[in-house]
Amino acid sequence: MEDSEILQILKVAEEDSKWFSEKYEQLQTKYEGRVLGIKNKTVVGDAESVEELLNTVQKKGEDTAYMLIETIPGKDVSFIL
Amino acid sequence: MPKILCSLRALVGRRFFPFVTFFLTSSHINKAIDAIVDTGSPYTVLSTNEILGTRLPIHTMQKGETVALAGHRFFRYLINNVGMSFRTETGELFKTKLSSIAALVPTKLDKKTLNDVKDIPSIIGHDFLEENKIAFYFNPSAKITYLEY
Repeated sequence: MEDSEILQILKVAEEDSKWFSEKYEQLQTKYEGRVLGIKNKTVVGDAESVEELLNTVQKKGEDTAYMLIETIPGKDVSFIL
Repeated sequence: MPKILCSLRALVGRRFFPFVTFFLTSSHINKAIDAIVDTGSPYTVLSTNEILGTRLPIHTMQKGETVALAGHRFFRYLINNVGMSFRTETGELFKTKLSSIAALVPTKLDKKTLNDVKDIPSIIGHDFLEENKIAFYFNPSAKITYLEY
């Protein structure tokens, strides 16, 4: 893969990651405990598991290759890594 | 010194944690990945969710050393010959090659376990920072965080 292509993918992924971080509290209210697919600053799908998410997003005709996969733990969940 | 900017995410308890995005390349994976930067982790690892997201057959990856993390046990399945690319503050690419990176594969693959481990993120650990001579700056009160090489 060409460097320019990787840079473009990274730029979009970084923007999506930043968007997810900034909107985290809002998204937590709606998607607590879910697995989210994020692309172009949009939640393109949510599901209980990654497998279900991939199936849901692919059924919508979306390409999952460069979709960010994020989770939103329940508000009562905290863990020390 | 060139910087790779990280983002801050209030994961739990409204405390901010540093995340960085990188692009992983291997013979079977080409993927952008968000990882928490954790200097307390000896290892850099890919989360179970990221592996499941590749649709690689995870049941064949229950091999390797076992590690305990967040109350769960995992195999450290090694994915060999990987490349990791980061975008720098100035829009350039910082690329590094690793002989291997570990994937966190739960020792149990039942539905309950996969649900329990789904919130565990990928981790950029101590090993990656040391081997690539990267420094990590984290000022949570000022909300500034970056990697520097």
